[in-house]
Amino acid sequence: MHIPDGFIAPQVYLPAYLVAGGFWAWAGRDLRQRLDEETIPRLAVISALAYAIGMVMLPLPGGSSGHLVGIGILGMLFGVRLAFLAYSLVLLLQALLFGAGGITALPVNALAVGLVGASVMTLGMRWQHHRNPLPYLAIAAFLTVVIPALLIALVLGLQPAIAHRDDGTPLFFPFGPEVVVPAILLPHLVIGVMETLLTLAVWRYARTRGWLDA
Amino acid sequence: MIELDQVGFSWPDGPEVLRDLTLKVAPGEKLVVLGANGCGKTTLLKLLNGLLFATAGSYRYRGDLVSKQLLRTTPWANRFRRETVLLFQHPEAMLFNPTVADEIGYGLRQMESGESDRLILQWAERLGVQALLEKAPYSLSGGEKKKVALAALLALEPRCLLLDEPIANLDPRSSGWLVDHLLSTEAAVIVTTHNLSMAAELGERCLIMDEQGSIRFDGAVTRALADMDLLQQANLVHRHHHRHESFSHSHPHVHDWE
Amino acid sequence: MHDRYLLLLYLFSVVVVTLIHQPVYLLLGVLAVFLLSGSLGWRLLRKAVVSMLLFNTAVSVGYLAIALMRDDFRADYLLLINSRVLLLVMLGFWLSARINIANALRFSSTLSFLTTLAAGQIRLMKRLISDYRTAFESRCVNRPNWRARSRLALAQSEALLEHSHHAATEISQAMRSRGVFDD
Repeated sequence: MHIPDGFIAPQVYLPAYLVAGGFWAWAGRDLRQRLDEETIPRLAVISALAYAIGMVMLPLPGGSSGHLVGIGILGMLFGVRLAFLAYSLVLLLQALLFGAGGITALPVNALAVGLVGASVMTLGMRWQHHRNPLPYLAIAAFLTVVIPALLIALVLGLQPAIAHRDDGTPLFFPFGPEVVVPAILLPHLVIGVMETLLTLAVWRYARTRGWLDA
Repeated sequence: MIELDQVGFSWPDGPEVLRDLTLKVAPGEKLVVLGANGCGKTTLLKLLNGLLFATAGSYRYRGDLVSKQLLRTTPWANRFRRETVLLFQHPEAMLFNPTVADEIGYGLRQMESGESDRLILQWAERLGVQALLEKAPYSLSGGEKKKVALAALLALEPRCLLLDEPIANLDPRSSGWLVDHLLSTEAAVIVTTHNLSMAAELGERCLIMDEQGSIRFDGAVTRALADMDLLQQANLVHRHHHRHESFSHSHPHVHDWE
Repeated sequence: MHDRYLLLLYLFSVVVVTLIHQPVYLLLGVLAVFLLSGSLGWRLLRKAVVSMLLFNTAVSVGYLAIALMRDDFRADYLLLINSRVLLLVMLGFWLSARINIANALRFSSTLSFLTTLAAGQIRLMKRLISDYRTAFESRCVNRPNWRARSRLALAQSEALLEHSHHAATEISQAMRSRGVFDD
């Protein structure tokens, strides 16, 4: 979820970078041993895919559209480590190359969407060989949208409590969780449904192409 | 220099792309490979560059049997990569360095050339990209990317140039420069193209591949281009109604070569 | 080197800006970035305002509404948050216009390769998405329904996956061809 810089306090984003850094080291650990002709191109292309998938417009009821999150698709196809690293690289490129900002929200987005989102989908993929995998995959795909949205909403909602003047004036994001959570979660419930349908369709397609890991 | 002996290539669980290719290329020889889409021209170049390996027959480079194992032998692999270079049809895949200067100098630095800076500038000027040296490759146009990729390969002064549709997306000045360079270089040149004028310009030997991945013709370019039946069978010419002053008719012809 | 220093300067500036809570200093920062940008100044300012308009308007209007209801409105908050966001967004645009990010990251060859390759592929994929969208518009005689728009989304996703699959192989071969993975 794109959060412009300036809404998250340094008391949050600086430690978040430390936490994210630990997970980047974990995710990259295997890769460092296999920095070979397959891993680098694959990671680069998956990163590009993570960006481009976010440009696909999901048609929502009422004629409007929302952007695909896509982390479910990435987690499904590439597993949590690669999906997390790819998504993180995309956030970095968005902030520094495309000028879209978000360098202070980067660790929060990377952890919530890239790590948690991809993990949820990877867990759901354990049922892909089940007799009837669709309900499990559908729930996982839905949760890859909703759980990160909830986490981000909570992080934003805690900003007034974390950083404020003595008189209570917020210094960063001004709304508490009681406002932010429904404001962010409700639209994401709708996006989640649409994204679930698309993720399942992509799962079918990937299966026919033989792209899903065993 | 290059010897293919009854080489075939099939994808695992996939179709046979190349069939029974027997071919010799001498040092300094200029060979144009013609064929319709999907006849295996790109696959052939990748095989010659040691990126794919024959599933039948043998490929020898300067007498050595090219294999996956041999390409893991560092000194041999280093020499092969320096001497045999491939320009990909889509140059985006080839560009991975932070700046154009780094891209052109990449191979030179691997070879620990003490003249990298001079050679980078020299080849950039020859390809007309000297103004782009500090730019990031991903920010270039398609034609600029191709010129940068070419500069990077030519800077190594290879013995064998493999070029996949090199003049596609190149402006006329650059195409002209490239054709002149290919004719004058001492390196062996193997070029794939749809463009029959290109074949005529390079003027020496021509290979025509058929849609089954075999060699249908191997001989002088002039002989191939004069055989309209051959070209039609190889799907290199087309037939459609067109006008000549007061009448219209249809016959096999090409637009880009006379 | 120059790019790396600019990147470090940018990161340092971001942290400093988020430690400043007086709008006057933030607005001075906006002025400084504007002046330092030279001829790009107005373009940068316009681009920054447009990019923050949606989110900041939503937050500002929401704050106004809730604060008024609670009789807790503080105008200096609106000035603070909007000037801070404006400054940070302008800094971000200033940076992306000034540096070659792959060059700035060259302390790690892996990160530098990844950045260059990913950035190149992103441009290709953006064009692919755009081509599909414009072709769809071109082919729709009537206003497309939900089903047609869903099919477009699926077609775009499948095309992206096909492209990715092919691109990863091509890049791997190209890097191998240039001896990147040889010792």
